[in-house]
Amino acid sequence: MELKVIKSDPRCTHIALSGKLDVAGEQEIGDEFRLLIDTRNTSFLVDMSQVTYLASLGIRLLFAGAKTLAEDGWKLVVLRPQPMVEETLLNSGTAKLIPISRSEEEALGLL
Amino acid sequence: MTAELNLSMSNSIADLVRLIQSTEEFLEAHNLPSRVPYLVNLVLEEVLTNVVKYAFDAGSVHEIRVRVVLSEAEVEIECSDPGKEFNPLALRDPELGTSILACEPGGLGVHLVKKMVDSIDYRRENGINVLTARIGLHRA
Repeated sequence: MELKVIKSDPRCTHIALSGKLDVAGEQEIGDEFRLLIDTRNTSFLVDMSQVTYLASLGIRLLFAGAKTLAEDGWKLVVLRPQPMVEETLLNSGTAKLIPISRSEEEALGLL
Repeated sequence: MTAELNLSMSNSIADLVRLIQSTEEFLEAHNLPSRVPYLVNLVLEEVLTNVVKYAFDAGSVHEIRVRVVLSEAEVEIECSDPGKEFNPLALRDPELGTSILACEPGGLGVHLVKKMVDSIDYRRENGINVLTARIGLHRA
């Protein structure tokens, strides 16, 4: 699992995740993700177009991040999840609380 | 045509990761729709993470067994453990609420499995918890 910061401005940090967000994947990027959320003081765009698998541990990571951001008035938007990852987000109810967007432009409009 | 994989693991996350990898390799050889190995991975990870974390007393070592049977119509995954009696299907579905600030996402794993597989059942047999999930291979 990899995490990359794609770009950042005063309003939004755009990161990209790639690989499997399973038990091992969460261990690989969880601390870095949490640190970014805690320190950037922006909304977050999380590009998941290269995430091939998502389970409840990864969903909890996203929820915790979104909750932390919301406490300061920021938002987290998921960008372009693959079909099975999107199905997982929908079936878990995540999509009701964390918006899913198909394009960067649409995502920035949701922030 | 039927193919079967029988594996065992000890109650550790490291062993679970290895078991999932072995199952993926088995499924890769059968040219299945991509959603099938995804859902098998999900079942194994969610069900067995709970077993590893909660079924046994801390520090004790136990064997957990997994059987994966691939037929023309479905994949059946059976997980068996000698841990404390526990039916994960009896858990209430999580209520995420309407606000991210009020959200407490516990119990998501089993909820996800219940929603995403075609059928799932539990039985307790001779001191063993047995959970069986089925994933159809042909979806409209």
